[in-house]
Amino acid sequence: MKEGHVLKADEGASKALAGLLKSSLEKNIFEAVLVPVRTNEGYNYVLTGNTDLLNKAEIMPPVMSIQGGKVLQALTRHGKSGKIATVMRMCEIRAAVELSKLEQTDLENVLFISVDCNGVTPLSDYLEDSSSAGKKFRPLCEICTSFSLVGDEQAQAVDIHAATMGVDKGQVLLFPMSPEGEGMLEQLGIDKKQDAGNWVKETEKLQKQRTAARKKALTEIKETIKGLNGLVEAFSRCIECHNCRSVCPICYCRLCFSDKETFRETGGEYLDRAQAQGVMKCTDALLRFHLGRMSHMSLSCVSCGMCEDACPMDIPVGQIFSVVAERSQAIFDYVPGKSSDESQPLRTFELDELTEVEDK
Amino acid sequence: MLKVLKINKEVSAGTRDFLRYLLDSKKVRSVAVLTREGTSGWVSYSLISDPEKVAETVPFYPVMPYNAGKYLSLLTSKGPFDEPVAVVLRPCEQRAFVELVKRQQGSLDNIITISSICPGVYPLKTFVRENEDKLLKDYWSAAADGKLPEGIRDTCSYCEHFVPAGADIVVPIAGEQHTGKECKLFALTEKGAELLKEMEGKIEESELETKGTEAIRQLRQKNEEKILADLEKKLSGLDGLVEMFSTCIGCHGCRSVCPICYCRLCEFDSSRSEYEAEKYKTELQKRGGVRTPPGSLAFQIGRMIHIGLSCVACGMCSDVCPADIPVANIFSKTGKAVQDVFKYIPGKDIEDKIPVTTFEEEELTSVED
Repeated sequence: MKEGHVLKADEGASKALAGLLKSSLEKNIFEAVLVPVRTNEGYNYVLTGNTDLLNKAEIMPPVMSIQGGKVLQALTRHGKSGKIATVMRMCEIRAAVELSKLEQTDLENVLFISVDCNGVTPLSDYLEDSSSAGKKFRPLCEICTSFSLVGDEQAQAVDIHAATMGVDKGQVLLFPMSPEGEGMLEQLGIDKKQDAGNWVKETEKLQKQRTAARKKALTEIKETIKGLNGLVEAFSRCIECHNCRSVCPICYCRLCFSDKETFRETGGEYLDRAQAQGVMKCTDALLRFHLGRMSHMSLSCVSCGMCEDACPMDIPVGQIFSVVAERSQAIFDYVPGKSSDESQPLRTFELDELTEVEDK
Repeated sequence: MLKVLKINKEVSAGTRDFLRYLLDSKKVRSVAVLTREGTSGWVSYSLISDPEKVAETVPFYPVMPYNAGKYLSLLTSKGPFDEPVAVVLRPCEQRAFVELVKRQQGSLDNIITISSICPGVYPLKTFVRENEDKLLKDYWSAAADGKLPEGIRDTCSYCEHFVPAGADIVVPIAGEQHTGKECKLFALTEKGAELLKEMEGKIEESELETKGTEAIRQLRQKNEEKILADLEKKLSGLDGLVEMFSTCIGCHGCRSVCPICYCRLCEFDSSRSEYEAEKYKTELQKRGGVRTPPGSLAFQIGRMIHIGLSCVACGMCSDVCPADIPVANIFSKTGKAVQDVFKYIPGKDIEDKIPVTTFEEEELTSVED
């Protein structure tokens, strides 16, 4: 990425990108755009073809109220959308791609614009004090290594990437990443180019810092969840509200496996269990739920941190899942959301894999 | 006048003695009560059969990790307890369970309830984020002063049903100054009186409610006026509702922890509530913009309609809301409004039918043409 297309951004990247979408609507390149809009105190994704409404758009809002992948699921689960463009964070785009592999999204008509992402502020901090926006970040954002077009994790679904890190003030550098992205910039007449050396330097530097920080943070978490006792303790405060599951972009099942009737027993059977153990925690389904969810979704976990944000008990559930995800994904050399052509490991069979767990 | 057994210990210790006695004398097979876990120290409901483990229980611990009504439903919905079980729970938890039983989501068979004149609980977030020792100290000293503890759940601070209805045994706490040195076990039912009979100690006769109870009631009424005053204004129009729920992230945690929401698959998670691709197009044309996922407010209003009559105002929903929306205040306010229409107090009596399941020829004439 030697050169980027220059987008003027005197009023900041958010306004500039909203302006870009506005022009593309005016030129009928898209039927609608999907962007976060501020509504009263909250930020919500809104699908709109109305250029006036775009004035209220807040591209890259300080918090992630709803994961973009989930938004696209709602939009395209029952059939593809009209031709739309959307601006999302990398982890949202990657979640949307994972969901397409699970037949929960249809991204055929979606043009993705990604933006360099510093991270988002935890919802509870932001609601308590909105000036924490941009200062305090989700723990997983602070150790995120796929915040831009860096490393080998970049999502191939991105059509245009908007670079802001290390870029001159008053500008955004756009990199077309697909023929569609190129076509869009061409139609909008954005052709002035500029050297992107500074951006490359800046993002690579951050990437290095983040990689080191990630290693350190995950090692610490790994220590705390060691063994069954560590896990039990980590989740001991869990009240089973299942907010983590509800906001997880990957957990898409309408009726979760763990909510099945099969797991229920009769009052008498529970009493027998309590008798046998002396004491039975209610409910006894806690660890089964978390371990089950881990095994169900960790290969696709994009470490967005929604789960941790939504946990009313302040359990570092996002970090715990990220540790597990990193390890399970490493086994299959799989980067969730990286490529839509790459099928999910559990849905493919390779004659030569996992030989280390075979009987000798 | 009711039969009361006095134990010369603070209320939690006295109640533990009673639970221990119930297990030792085999009057119950198990007790279900808030218990402190060994390794983490966190408190959760446990089913205890081993009398030795009663020492780890913390009855009336000022936090509600789970509405016990929901928990009892989980334990008995597939089949009732086949032997007696004593359960220590708060008035709103008992009422929630009764509502669930009316909906065939559990069974009261073999359940003995031990409840309290309840001072309320702290929000879960307070408990997670603040110093536990200080909270406990503040709580029990406020109780022993006959006051309401500061910083309890909103719904607790204006709770009007803090004196339990229908419990077998009741331990007065709120408004009572003896709680630090004496535990009074009142028998409200025959079953309760029978259990107290053989327990060591002196049985006297006394009234359950005191001047202290009345003082707490008045305090709570005042709080209700204070907390809910401007809520009514906000709730009276669509704009107010939209604004109040504007930060909702759609996690539906309120529903998950609600003791009344028992549906395995919620109406609002069914495919009926989802938009087809075509629907987005028509909505776009009609309105210019569609909040996605759609139906955020429809969910809130729908849930209000579904559970309003049975809402026991326990406050679980507010506690788990990651967006700090005062869900419980909104739902208890609307719940009370519909409950008043039918003069229905949810969970008060298992014999009271849920109004929407009955038909009276002469009712709601005010809304007829």
